[in-house]
Amino acid sequence: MTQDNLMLLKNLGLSKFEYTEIKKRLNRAPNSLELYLFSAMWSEHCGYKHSKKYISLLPRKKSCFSSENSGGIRIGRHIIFFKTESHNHPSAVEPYQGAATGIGGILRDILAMNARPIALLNSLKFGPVEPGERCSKEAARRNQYLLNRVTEGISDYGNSTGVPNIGGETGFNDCFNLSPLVNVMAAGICHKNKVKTSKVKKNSYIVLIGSKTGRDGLFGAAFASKELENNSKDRLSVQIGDPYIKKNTIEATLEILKSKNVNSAQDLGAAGLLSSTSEMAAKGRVSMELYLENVPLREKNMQPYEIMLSESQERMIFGANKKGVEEIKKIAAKYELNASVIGKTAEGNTYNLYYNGKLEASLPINALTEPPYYDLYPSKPRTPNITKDFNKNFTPEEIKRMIFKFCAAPEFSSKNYIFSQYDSTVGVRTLQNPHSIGVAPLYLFEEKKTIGFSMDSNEEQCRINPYIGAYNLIFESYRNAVSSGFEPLGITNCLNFANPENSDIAYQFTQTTEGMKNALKTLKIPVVSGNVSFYNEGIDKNGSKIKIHPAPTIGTLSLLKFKTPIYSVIEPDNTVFLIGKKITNDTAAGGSIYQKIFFDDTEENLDTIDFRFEKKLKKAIFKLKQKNFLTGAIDVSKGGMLGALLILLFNSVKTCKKLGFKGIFPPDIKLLLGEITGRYLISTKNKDEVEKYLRKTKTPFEILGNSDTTGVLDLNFAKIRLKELNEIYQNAISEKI
Amino acid sequence: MKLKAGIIVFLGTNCEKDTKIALDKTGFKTDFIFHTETNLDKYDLIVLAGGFSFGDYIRAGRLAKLSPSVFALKDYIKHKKGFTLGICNGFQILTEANLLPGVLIENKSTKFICNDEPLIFNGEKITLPIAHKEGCFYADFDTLKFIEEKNMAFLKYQNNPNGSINDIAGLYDRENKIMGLMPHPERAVLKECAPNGQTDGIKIFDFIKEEILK
Repeated sequence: MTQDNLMLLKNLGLSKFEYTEIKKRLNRAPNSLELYLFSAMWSEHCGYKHSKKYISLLPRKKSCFSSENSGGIRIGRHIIFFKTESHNHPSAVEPYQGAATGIGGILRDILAMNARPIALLNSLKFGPVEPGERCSKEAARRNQYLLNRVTEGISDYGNSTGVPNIGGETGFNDCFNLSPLVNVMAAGICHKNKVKTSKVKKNSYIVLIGSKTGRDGLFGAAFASKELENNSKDRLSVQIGDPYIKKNTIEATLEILKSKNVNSAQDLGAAGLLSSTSEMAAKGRVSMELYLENVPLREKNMQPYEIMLSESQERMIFGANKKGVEEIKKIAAKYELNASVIGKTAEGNTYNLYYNGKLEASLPINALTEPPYYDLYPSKPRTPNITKDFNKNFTPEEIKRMIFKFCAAPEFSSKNYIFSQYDSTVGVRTLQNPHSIGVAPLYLFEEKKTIGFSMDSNEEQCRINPYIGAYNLIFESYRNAVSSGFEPLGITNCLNFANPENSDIAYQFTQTTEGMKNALKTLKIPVVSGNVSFYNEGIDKNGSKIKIHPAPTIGTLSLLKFKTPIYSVIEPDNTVFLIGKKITNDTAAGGSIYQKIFFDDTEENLDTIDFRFEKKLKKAIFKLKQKNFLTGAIDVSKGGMLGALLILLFNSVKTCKKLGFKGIFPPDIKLLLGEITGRYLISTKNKDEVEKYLRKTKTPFEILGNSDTTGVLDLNFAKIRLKELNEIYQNAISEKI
Repeated sequence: MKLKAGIIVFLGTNCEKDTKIALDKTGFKTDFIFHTETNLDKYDLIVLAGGFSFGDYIRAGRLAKLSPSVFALKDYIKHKKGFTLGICNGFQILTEANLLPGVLIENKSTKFICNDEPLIFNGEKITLPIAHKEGCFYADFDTLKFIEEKNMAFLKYQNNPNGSINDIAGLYDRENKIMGLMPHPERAVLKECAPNGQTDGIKIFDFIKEEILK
């Protein structure tokens, strides 16, 4: 190997082993263009080389098209496609474009299936927006900037495309100081007989539509496959989005895919033209040749590798017969988009790139699209010494102050500052402000049914124990759905981790997927699609490495089992029941956010799942809904019992300004705010009937108190004006920014 | 006979399907009209729907006013062929094209706002969804006087979310039958999915129907 080639290998992130493997597969040395192609296709981002062996173990039964651009779940005559994607690395260096193009990318994945996008969600994670022990003033300011710009990017781009942004979550944790997480989810609907895949037929023309190709996003895939180096050069690897062209691309694509003469579609995402065309050919088991001089370019003198690897946004690619090509050109012209025939397919298994008539690269397709898959070498980190006692005694006055502080903490407070910047009602399918319900409901005209979506994550729990954390996460999402009257049908996941080549991270990753797998198998719910984001770590100013906690995010599709959903609300003169487990002194409640807020630590054992008990609770909630006894319900998760009660009340003060609540609560912070599994709150007018039902079915419960019109939250040990507390809760984030 | 409505679809318009659902539901027969159309005369109602026409990169509605269909709309209005309704981006286009007075500028908060907003519609309290970034209505003193004299401000905000002058959320030019409003009545029509189950949007469409039939 020449010195130049050695340098190139290093710059491209290919190992010596991989170079040898390439030579073996080709029976010759690759030229430099081919080396570029391999490096992109074998990057973690495109090739999933460290994760494939593990994510392939997740259950898939009952999902459809799960090996395509996006998988889905069948509901009646339609398939609901949904998928999450991470845009963490680009958002860390250029938050506005990074987040915007994250939305663009995930929409294309849905679109490529011929599904009309009907919903967007996002899960955002930032470092703290307030300076503290683990967050300097400077870092807090940067986190505020990231939060604002990411929100604006999603708002400007998403709103413009006309797809409603119906929900999601935002979290804050110092582990995200250097590596914020931007996970976006999109869902779409397509009739089951009209789905298009990326399987291109032989003797098809390859047609590229959309924006011209430029140098933006070059090496984006490679960039997302390493640690961030705080390098301003990385900005060049971030793509630039254009939501107007995206909207036209959406409409044009859906019009094009109506044609019988168009046999396949693929979006151009990571590693642009290269990964889209090679995957099409690999799936269709055909040969492909591309003529790069036919690709419309935005910049002069672009090299073949630049054309192949550019991640310019708003491009789609189709396989079509001759008639189809004409149809595509006509439709593209209507939407003022470029359309060019850039290649052809034939029988065989080679991938040939021509530039001005000269053959520049010639590779067996499988050699390119099937990277070597690696085993991870996990080793269990030294078990942390869990001795922390969060159950200190506080005076009632102290606890009252803590409740105020808790409502003002960004981890708990209202995210409406962010959410109100998203158009959540375009498309006229959205049922209700998603913050008043566990899952965001959408009406399907096509099936006369209501589906729901949610996104969840719990990095603190996964840090303490990734297996139990991931297991609990699936059930948290399950309870979200149940509390709203929905049945979960399938999930998509986005697995955010630091560098898996380190054994501690490998341990986190393998344990997380194992926990997820077992929880899903228990519930008989499939994973339909997913994404893995590794290398979420960076080096801070002091030179120390900051890794994110293991942060799997899941997006869940569920189906409403009743005529109307159960909202997380309460009316005056309701009784509130806690249904499910009770917290005692010995209960493990690790990972609770009150511990993080007040003790800057969550190191305690985690509560675990009792599936039969969870099923029993679901049956109770559904039965009470069926009997029409429920005003509202909420699952008890972040913020524990008091957190859930407060959300019920805050959601309802808008409609009843004088709402109040009276109950007898012990002044015990763990009991009030501790987070464990297997609990719901319900609000009801039918106290006696509910009590009778719960006794009869031996469902554990506790009556917390009654709502009234005093405007006061009376906890017995403290009295708080609800309006005052609500204002703190609603305005906490906007005031800190 | 059903009233005929046509929705002009510019590139970047994104509420046309929602608006069609609402119009069909409230008794219109609705077509989409691509923005290159030059004759609108067969319609009783022309709707400019919400969205981001041509990307709205310069200013909302700035480019759409130069589209062939907007010139056709001017003819349509001049010859009193029917009623014109502009919702959100449509309202912005109508002001940019000088078919309604005043301008719509960036919200006071400088941010996009999506919310259910309480309004006063011809004296009645209703709630409609809003979703816009450039929805702050502004007009100079003389224009405001003109608006008041003609009694054009048929829709006002109760809690002015965007800084609009005189709380103006919508204008109606009774003489020329041109209505523009920032809130989205089409998003509050279907019982199955209207936020909070309220369907106040129907009231706006019913009012328009009455005005057409007058």
